[in-house]
Amino acid sequence: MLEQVISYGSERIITIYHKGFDKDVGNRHKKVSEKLGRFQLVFEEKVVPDEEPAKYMLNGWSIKGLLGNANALNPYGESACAFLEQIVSIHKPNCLFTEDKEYKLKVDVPTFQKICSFSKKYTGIDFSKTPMSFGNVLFYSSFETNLHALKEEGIIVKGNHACDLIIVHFKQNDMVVCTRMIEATGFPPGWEIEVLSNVSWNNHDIEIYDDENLVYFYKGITYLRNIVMNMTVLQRGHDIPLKKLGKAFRVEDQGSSTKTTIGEKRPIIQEKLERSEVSIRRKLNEEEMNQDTLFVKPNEIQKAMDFIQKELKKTSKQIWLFDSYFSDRNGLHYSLDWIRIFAFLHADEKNIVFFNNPSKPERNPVTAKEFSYLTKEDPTIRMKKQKDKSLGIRFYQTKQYIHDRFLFILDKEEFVTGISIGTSLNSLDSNYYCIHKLYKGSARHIFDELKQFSNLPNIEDISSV
Amino acid sequence: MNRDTMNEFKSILHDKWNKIQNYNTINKRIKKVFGRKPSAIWIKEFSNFLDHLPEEERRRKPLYTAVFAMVLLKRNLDEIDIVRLHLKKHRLISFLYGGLTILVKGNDSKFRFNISWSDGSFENKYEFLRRFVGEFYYWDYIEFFLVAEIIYKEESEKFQEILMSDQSKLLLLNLCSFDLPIHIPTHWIIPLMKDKQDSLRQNIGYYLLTKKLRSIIQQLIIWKPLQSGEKKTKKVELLGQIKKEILIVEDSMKQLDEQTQASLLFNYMLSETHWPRDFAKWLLNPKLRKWFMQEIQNKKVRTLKNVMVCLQIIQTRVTTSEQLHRKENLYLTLVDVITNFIRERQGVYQWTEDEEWTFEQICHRLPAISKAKLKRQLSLIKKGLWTSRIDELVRFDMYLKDKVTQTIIEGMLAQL
Repeated sequence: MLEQVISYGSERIITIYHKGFDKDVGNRHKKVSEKLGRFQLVFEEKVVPDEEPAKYMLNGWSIKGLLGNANALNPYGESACAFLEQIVSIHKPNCLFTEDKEYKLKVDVPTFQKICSFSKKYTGIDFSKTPMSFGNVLFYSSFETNLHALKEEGIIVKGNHACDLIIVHFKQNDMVVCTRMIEATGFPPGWEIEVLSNVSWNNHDIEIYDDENLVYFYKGITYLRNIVMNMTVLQRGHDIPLKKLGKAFRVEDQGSSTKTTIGEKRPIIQEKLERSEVSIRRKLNEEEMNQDTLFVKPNEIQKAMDFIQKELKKTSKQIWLFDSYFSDRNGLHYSLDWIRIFAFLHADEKNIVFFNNPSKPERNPVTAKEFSYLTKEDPTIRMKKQKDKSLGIRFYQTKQYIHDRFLFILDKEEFVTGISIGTSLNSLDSNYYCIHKLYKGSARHIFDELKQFSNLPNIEDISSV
Repeated sequence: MNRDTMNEFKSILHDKWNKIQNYNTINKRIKKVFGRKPSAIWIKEFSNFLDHLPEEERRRKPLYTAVFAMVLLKRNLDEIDIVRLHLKKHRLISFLYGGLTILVKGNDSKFRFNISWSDGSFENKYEFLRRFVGEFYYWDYIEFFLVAEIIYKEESEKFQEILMSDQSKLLLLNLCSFDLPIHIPTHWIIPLMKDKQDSLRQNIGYYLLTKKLRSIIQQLIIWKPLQSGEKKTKKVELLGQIKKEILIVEDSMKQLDEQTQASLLFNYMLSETHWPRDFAKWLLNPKLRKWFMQEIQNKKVRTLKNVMVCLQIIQTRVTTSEQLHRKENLYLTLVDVITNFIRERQGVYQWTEDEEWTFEQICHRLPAISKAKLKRQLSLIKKGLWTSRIDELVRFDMYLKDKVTQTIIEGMLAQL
């Protein structure tokens, strides 16, 4: 058996065995190491005497079955289906995971991604799709099959393993147009079988059985019949020197394009039908509004508030609002409305970060302490909440002016989502602006950057209610 | 001739050189502005115009003269002698020289050449010259070259000044081609070759130095296969000329430092199909030899054919005996170069008949020790390749690259 082991920081994170490659590899011993952070990531491969899966089942149980090529745990890609016996272990590598009610990542996300791409490069398995497979032992056998197209008429199937039955469904796009079942009992290894179709087809499914077991399957195989190349020849672009907007602006040449087709050309009418279908579907698709962006006109404040309320309705642990003009005295009542809404939300912490322009005292902006006082005295809040109980609202008066308005929601797992509002919260009904949703890495990075303005030394004053 | 006409001249030159208007439009404008007046009268009127310039514009005289002369010559390129005569008559040559100097030096932001050449990707600048000679925009800037020719014919000292301060190298590069009837004497070339900051200028100098040598060698190549009586005398005559040229080259080279000498000689031999044996002898000279070794190790040796040339140089017979044992180092350096080709996947990309033949020639010339070393290094690399069936299934992109390398190594090992 061929043994492949990946270790991180001298601890094994995955062990893989392949059957049937002993002769091919011989006594070649491969070892590759890469330094990742403080530890070494090592891949080692060599032939070892046959192992029994039963040996590893002390701490877990085994799952057996055949994997198709799309499956992340199939290392052979498209050339072969893999028969996998996976011994699942409940003990996960300490260097990667912490164990509690849930297995959590011990390393940071970029490091884990580098480990996964290293594993993919040398073992062919993408563990970022199945992170819980780390710590398991995998046993593979392969059933390699080669397929070629026989012009328009059919396909040729070649294989080295025993097989009884081959089923091929020839399809035209999604429609099955012809099925062939071939009995192949008794063919010697290295067999080559022609499967022909009497109807025109452009892709096919195939299943190969040995002794009532499925050994190979693949859906939707297509063969390269023609290549369409669009080539553009460009001249050298040139740089336009700029004074303020950077050093220079690069202008590229438009160039002239030509289209070349290699291989068989499809009939013109068929191409015409397909092109028209794609273009009309695209037009229909374009009419749909993007749910992530909302455009608001003057006097549409309810529309804007509905959008924002949908965000605030999510179960959250922390809410952060960044609006530099929150302290504008002319819009004080808008700000108080917002404070009222915040007072009744269920989040543990509600934070409002705003700016006071120290160089323009004549505008008399509202300070953090004043906000606290106004909040405590507000009649609507007083009616429903006990006087001395904390509302969980914190006002941060910051020294840094942030132009855009942001609202971030952190849920109990600290995942960040948010929205960016194009106008100040005290002018939601009188402007043309957009509200954008922020997700994933973007939301997290923007939040991490802006949160710094709520820390010393960027703070002028903090006040809690 | 008035200010408007002068502005029109400036505009024509600007639009022509910046390719804002096409050839026909420019010609029409030139015809219109000059009319039917002969050049002699135009020059007289221009001289008058210059004399009546106000005080604060007097310093623009050289610029105006240069622009005027170039546009006038564009009207009729064959009138160069007439224009020269009349410019001289009205004592405008020194102004013309002044204007050209401004143009060529590149300090004036509004009147200069701004050309970037594509020699950046060539480590061997001589090869760049050899490949692109004749394609340095000669016809696009023809009026500039004609005016430069006028200066050359009138005051060759001043022409040398212009040549040395040619910031954009436009004039220098076009001197390399045969279009200009300007002969550059050797003592002008030496300062070019001494410019260690700019290796393109050094190689331009060397190119000009060896111009005559190259043309005689070309003739010899044509005559060489012929054996009959009078053709033999012709061959002997040519060989004699070559010997003379080599002496001239040797004299000039002696004035340069050793690193430059090695670099220029090596560039020449890599790029030319035929070169004099004397060049190789000089490179093997103990003084130059360590520079030669350095030259082999930099990026100039890019293909197996280049390696072949290096071997031919190394194996040139030299008379002094002390140099014999030091050749080992050169052979071993070459072996390392070949191994690096394989290791870095450069230089040899496939194994076809061409590569096979070249490698066979290389093997004939390598001594046994070097061949053994090469064999060892190649075998070592081969062991570490990812080319088994498991690699094909699991690590296909690594397999694909290493499979090609394996084919090349096997082709080489078959001959070692």
